[in-house]
Amino acid sequence: MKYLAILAAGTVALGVAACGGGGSSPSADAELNCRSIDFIVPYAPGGGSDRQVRRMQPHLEEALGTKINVNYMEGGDGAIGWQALAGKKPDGCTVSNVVAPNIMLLTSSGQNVGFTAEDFEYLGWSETTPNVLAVAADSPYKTIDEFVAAAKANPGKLTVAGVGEVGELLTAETQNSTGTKISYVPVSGGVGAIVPDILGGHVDAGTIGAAHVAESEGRLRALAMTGTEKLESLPDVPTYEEAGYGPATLGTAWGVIAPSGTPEAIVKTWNEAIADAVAKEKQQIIEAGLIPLEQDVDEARDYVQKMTDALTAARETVEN
Amino acid sequence: MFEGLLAALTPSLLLYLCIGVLAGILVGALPGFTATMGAALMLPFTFTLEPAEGFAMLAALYVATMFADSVPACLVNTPGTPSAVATALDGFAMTKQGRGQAALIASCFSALIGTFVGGITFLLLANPLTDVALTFGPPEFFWIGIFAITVIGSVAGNSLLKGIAGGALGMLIGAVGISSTGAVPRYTFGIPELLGGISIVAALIGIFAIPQVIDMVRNRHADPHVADFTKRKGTARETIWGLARRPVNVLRSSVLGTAIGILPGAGSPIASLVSYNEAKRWSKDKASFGRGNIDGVVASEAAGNAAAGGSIIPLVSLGIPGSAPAAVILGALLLQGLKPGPELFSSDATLVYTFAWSIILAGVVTFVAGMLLSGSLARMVLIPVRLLAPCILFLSVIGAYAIRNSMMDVYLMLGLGVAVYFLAQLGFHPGPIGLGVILAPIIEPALVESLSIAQSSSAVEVFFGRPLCIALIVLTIVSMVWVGVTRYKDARDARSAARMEPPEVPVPQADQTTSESVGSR
Repeated sequence: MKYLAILAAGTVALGVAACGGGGSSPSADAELNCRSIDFIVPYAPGGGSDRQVRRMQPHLEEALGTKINVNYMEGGDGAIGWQALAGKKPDGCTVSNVVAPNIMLLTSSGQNVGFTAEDFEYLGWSETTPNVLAVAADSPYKTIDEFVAAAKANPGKLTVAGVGEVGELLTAETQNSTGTKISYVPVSGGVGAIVPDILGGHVDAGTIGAAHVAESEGRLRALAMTGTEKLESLPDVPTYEEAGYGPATLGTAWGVIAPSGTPEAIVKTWNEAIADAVAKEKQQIIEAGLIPLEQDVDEARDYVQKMTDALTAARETVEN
Repeated sequence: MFEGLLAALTPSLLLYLCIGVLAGILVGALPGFTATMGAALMLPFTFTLEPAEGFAMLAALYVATMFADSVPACLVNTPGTPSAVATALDGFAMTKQGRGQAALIASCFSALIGTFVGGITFLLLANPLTDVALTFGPPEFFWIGIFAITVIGSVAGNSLLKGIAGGALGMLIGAVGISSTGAVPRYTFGIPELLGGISIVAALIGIFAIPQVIDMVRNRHADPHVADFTKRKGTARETIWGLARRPVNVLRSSVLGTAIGILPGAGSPIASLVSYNEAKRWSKDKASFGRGNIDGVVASEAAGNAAAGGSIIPLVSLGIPGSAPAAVILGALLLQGLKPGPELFSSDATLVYTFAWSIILAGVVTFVAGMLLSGSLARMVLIPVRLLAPCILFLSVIGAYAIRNSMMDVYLMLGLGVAVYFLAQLGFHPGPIGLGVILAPIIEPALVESLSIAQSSSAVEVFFGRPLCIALIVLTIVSMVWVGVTRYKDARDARSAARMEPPEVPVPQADQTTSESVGSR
């Protein structure tokens, strides 16, 4: 029957297509023996993690000699994607984007998420950004001092938006550093949902990555920054400490991880490919308001500890 | 403005536009594949293109998906994406009446008009409208969500109570997973895989496709085909002429869709549902909605497409995407080194106008493609159920899995589908359940955010003290009252009609006659 033939052809075609465009290009690298690389992104397309991966993708494909398929596995604040990675073979053919301190927050929350932050091999961190307290360009608060003064005069009346558990911690850090009481507004849907809230005047400020302010071309103003480094793309923004307040350390970092048990040689190959990609994209990364990171394997591992410590420190200052 | 049009009419841009449309039709027609997914898959191909060409391809995919999701919705009662839920209500009824091709033609015609309205709005009113969009904050979104719930009144079938219960069930399903504020897992029973909740798309496939498949299989002897269809010359001309002579519905739906699309976070699903509701409210033939009234298809599809165009407006003028596919397009633009915002308008206005024209052109190409394909697509219903049903099941499983490579999504989809099938036997229409699933991720975060904002003033002031909120509350109350009144009148009319005429009696068997049980005049 005609229909049968059409149906069969269509279904087979779909089945083949669904199996993914697995690259048939042979691997140029002796250590990485993959038909194609499955790159998990545990967040929605279009976000910061997606952009990190897409920026690196062409360079990684070149350096590793294998095609990369990006696989979005959104949900649970990253949990779904990282859970999936934990169950994959440690052959370097499946990796995932990782965001710190998000992964550390998930695993230290006490619930069973199916993995711990230590369960992975950290192949490299590509970029980081401090977090800032941002207001709309037409906000009455031009400097951090004005904001703090207003917060102190009206305890609990100023509203600050943030995303997820990190947002709560960041806002708590801010309050701690400046000695103020602010009302926290949890926003879901990522930073994309916070920015309209700030611009529309529905909240007084937001705690977001510096990159988003740099991207916003003047619609947002950053009042103060976490961490100790200055940011090239936001030269006029003081750190909390520079402005005379207590320390605030939580930044965000993006990296790449593989399942634990991945052989050292493969880790090194990936690490070099990532460093290569970052070096080639350095200018774009800086223009996006981020700080590029170039690390070897040991530095990458140490960075994990650094972010975990920053998280613990932030929690402790907040609880005291 | 017109340099933008000229730039959009270059052969290479048009080529990529057409590729985008073809890809979009494929993505939209397959249940489980969403515009977001399609755009994400296409993203790497845009890196080597000029920004205008890359944007054209992605925008065309978005527009075409919003049309093509009506294909499975009309033909097999399975929305291709969440935006087609309302389309399925009348579209499938039309197909069962042998008018499947007319439904598809109505859909692509609405795509044309809706995209046109959205695109023109972008061209002319982008900046002032974005300022208006920003005045909608969490409290306003909360009330929009509540207003959208009153749509249940239109899609609930016979029992409003069961409709409301279904909607509540849908919202409960949407609540599974980590809460919107990221702190508390709900209904996960300690299973880590449930932390991500049930993906909306998988849930909708389960709610609509699976009961349909079960139904088809059970009735395969009585109904070996989904519906009958004979291709008639002139269907296209008749349908379009009929629609063009009554422009109010399609224009109103397009404007409504554009307006809702501009609000960041609302998107096509809400636009199409609200538009369907309004079309029914203002129709002179309300009772026929849900039974094959072409205006229902038009309303839903025009709004869905207009919302696609509308969601691009805040994207380009503010860098804030109005919907998930728009977020992917934003990513594409940023990766190309473009920074969306007022500066883009002043530094490269031609490029921005090219974007707007690309959207309009995508609508035209989609319309042409839709017209060409409508006949062949409509003939799909002639495929015997014993072949079609397994195909739909197969595509549903692949679609549910493809969202995030998770078997959990597949199991949930199947489980939900079976459950909804039994609920349907008990009189629960799947429409409200789907509505609840779509609305939960909008209403709950809006509620939480609004309550948090209320820490700085008071809940009363936040929810009831803002002018836009008050307007929305009034709309919601009017809508609820209207639902109540219409149902009361329908019930009363049905009772008096029953008294006046004998009800249809079944064919008398043997010596059984039932006419004496009827009080006839």
